[in-house]
Amino acid sequence: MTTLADYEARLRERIPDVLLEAVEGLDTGVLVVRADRLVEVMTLLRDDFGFDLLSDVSGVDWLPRDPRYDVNYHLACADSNRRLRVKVQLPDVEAPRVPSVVGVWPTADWHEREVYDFFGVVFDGHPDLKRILMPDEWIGHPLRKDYPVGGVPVEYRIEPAYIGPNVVSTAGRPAAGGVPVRLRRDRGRPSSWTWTGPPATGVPDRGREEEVELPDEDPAETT
Amino acid sequence: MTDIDTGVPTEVRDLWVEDETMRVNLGPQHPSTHGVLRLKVEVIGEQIVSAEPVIGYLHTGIEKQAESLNWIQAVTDVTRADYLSPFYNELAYSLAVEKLAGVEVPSRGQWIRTIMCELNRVTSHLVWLATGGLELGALSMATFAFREREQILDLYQSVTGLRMNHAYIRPGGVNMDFRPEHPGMIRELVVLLRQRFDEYEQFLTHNPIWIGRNQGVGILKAEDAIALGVTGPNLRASGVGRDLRRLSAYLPYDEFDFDVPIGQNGDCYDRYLVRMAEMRESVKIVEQAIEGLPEGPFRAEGKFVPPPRNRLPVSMEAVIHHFKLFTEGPHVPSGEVYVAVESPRGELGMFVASDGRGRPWRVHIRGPSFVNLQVVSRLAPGHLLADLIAILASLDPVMGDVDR
Repeated sequence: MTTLADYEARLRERIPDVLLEAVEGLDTGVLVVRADRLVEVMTLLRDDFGFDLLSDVSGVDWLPRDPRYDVNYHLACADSNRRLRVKVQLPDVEAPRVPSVVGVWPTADWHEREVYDFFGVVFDGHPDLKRILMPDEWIGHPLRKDYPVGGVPVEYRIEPAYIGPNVVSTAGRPAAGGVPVRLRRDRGRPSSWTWTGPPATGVPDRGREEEVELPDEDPAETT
Repeated sequence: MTDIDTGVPTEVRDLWVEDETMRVNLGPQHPSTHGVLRLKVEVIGEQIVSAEPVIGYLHTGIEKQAESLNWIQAVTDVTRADYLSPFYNELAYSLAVEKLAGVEVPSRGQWIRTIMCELNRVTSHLVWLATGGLELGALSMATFAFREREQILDLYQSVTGLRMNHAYIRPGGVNMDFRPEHPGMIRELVVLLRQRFDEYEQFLTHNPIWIGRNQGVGILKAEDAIALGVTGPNLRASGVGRDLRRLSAYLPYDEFDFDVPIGQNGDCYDRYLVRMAEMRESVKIVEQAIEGLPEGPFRAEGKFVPPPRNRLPVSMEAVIHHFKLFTEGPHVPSGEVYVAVESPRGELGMFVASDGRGRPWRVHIRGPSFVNLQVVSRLAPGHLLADLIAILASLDPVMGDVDR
């Protein structure tokens, strides 16, 4: 049985000062390595440690932690249930960078595109790094914690032609990152509006609905 | 005047430019692309030069949504990823949450999970068989396979209340116990399915058209499959016997006698044979599980499951527990965990991270279809356009799993 301590010792011996931390996780061992020498580590893990299968690459945004992003590589063996998680931690910048491992495992191609799409992590050396699940012209990276849930523009709300006496213009409302605010008419109270838009700034305040009373359209009605 | 080599009129032949390719757009709204998959195909004549899958048309933000639901509600969300094998999505997620929270599922719950999951493997493969047959011209296969699937879905409805996306397997066990009539229904299904599998095999396995369309098409070598991360029946058809049911004991599979079918050539025909054999093995597991189904509780006690109904009028603690569970939801200790199960399409992984609060911090679904679909661009070149459909059908991608 090969244990985490064994991996740790062998990795320290073969590539010194690349390992930042080795933690025994709930499911498997976790090696936190330096991002800049990732390809070297991964090649070693594949060739000498026998991890020939890259199961998964997943990003995590740990806002407000510093370093903010995790990229987890879940390694496995084709013929046994030996698993290992290799983790790199990336700082809170607009486009955190990490070397691509497509050269080590071709399967990383789409995984890395997905992490780029959702978290904006740039994989240096990726053959064709572009969005994969979101539309090409999408702005922002949806799985970041400061990207609000429900902040998607709804066509029939932002169309200027629809702004009439019963619809409030979205101009001047708190909107996150230029994302239009959605407005919903509260049926019970004809002169009030319920604002169901996202929180203005990126705090992990998930799923909150905020109710804002807006002033009446016509001052004559209230007086 | 016609060209001697090709039989094409010379005036047409002279218009051809050597090595000129044509781009064909297949999908996303095309019945043969298994849902909303788009393929940018480059062809010379009918021969494929390159094929690039373009995905994301069914992206529904399941992972993002899960972050705003509580730990129990998120089951209803993740189950919609691979909509043809919803039990596996629930299972992988529940196993991950149970590992984070340290919940132990009683053995009856585990056995019920096994039965439902193995039946789900059959229904999922039946859809593959129906649509795959349909795409290659075996039209009656579609009606046959969907007919049997309906009967299994009726059982799901009886057990879980829903035909698809059941949210039946939840952290702590399963939502409801079997009622007294269910074991009988499952035994009848086992008998029926065995008989139908024989019929399917008579219909397709030695059918010369089926063999002609599938044999030698889309050969995936074992080392390529591993490098490209292919898992499940697609990998086993290439001769690698990797089956997580054997490798890790996430359900009591060591209690059952079953084989892991392996192919040799890695072509479409082997992938067909492997899946056909897998359905029989699944039925074998279901049969053993229903005979040996242990008595006892079907879900764990504790904060993840509601208190028994008869405790509510007499116990204040039960009322508080009930109220807290359905308003705030349970909290899960912080940590992160990756759990993989053998879904009908391969390794379905669930990476779940918790920050110690009442909602998942991050849920990432490693969809086996997402990874398996990558090989299309490797397998297709050199084949005819019609073979691309056979290759796609044999890989069995589900777009809900690809796009999530």
